[in-house]
Amino acid sequence: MTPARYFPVAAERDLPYRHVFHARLFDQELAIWRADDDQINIWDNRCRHRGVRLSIGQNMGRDLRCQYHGWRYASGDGACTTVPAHPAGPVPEALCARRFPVARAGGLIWTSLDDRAPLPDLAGGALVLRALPIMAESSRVMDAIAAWPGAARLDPFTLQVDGDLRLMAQPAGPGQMVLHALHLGPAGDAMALRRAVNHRLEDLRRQIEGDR
Amino acid sequence: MVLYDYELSADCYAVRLLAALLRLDLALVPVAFYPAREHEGAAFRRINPKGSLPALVDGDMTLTETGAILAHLAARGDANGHWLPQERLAPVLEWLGFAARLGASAGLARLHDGFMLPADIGQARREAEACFRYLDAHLWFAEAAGQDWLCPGARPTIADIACFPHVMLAEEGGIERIHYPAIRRWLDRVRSLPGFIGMPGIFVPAPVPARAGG
Repeated sequence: MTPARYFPVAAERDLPYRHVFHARLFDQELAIWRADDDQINIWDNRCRHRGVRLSIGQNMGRDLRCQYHGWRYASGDGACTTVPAHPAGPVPEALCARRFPVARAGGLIWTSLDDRAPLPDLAGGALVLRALPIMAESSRVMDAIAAWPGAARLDPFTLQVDGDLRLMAQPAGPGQMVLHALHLGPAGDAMALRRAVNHRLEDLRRQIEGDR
Repeated sequence: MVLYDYELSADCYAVRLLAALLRLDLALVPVAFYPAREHEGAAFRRINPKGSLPALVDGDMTLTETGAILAHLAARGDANGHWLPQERLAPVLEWLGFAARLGASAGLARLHDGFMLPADIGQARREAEACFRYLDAHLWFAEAAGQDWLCPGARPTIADIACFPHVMLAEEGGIERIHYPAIRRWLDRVRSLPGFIGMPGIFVPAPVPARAGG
């Protein structure tokens, strides 16, 4: 059972025009894409046809096209709209991309594997810092950060450091996680801040991963 | 110009790709790298004594290092100097050096898995991952500064073309790209360049219309 809560899986800026973002949450692979009308879709990363990863497909603006045989799935309801091998035939209604809920907060994209989860509670206006994948369990990473001076644990997946740095765990799979980072409040020199936090988190990653 | 070429070679593809982007004609001479190992044979060593691919012959000059071949194509086919900008030569050379690191790590892992080349596969993948981490951070901060390419400037350079094949083909060497989102976006940008060509394992995307209304 995965926790009934939302986890960050990408940032708004990770989803530029016509891109398909690739993520993993509790070993569930996700294809995440923004349609031209700004709707964000988070789908099981598998075409219903042959199980090919949709993350290597193409974002066509209103639908996502599988790279291998051109099956297309519509933004929003995920309905399969086109099966090129049967251009005249009706498309079975049951052929939908498997969808996950989408939440947008604090410049991040969130999802949950459990539809009943409460939405993330995060005000806008945060500065999104670089998320860092770390090859370790989330709990190990969060424990290491919780030992920093000035760190406070808000919940098992969320830490607040020095008042304005918020660190959030995305448990990606066994032995791998992504550490998302937001700077809450006034940023000053945003680039300098991004670089400073990135250095700090990369130091942490080297320390945790050791010489694996 | 004659390119001694193997269709599945990442470095040969880099040369064909830049030639296509520059609309330069190359005469391709196929060399059976695998399994025949024709590149190591006596006949091919008359052309390239190193017994390596690619090799480019232009008149009385023969070039056998990928970065040098790309530089030569840019000199021949790019009168504006966009692909090899003289005022930013050092950053381009820096990334050509990085491309060689990619070839010796991600490229080697792919040759090990797909072409039975002997290698310390664990070491090759670890070095590839270290390269990809460095590249992803570089590209993330480049994006944050409004830059799309490896070297500062509005246009791609031969450095992007030298690095692209090894990164794009890395999954054939058992290296997944899910942990490198900024790299994945850069791969999209390279693949959407006008005149882009693919190879087995690299699809050409459908044309993407310019973004309406911004």
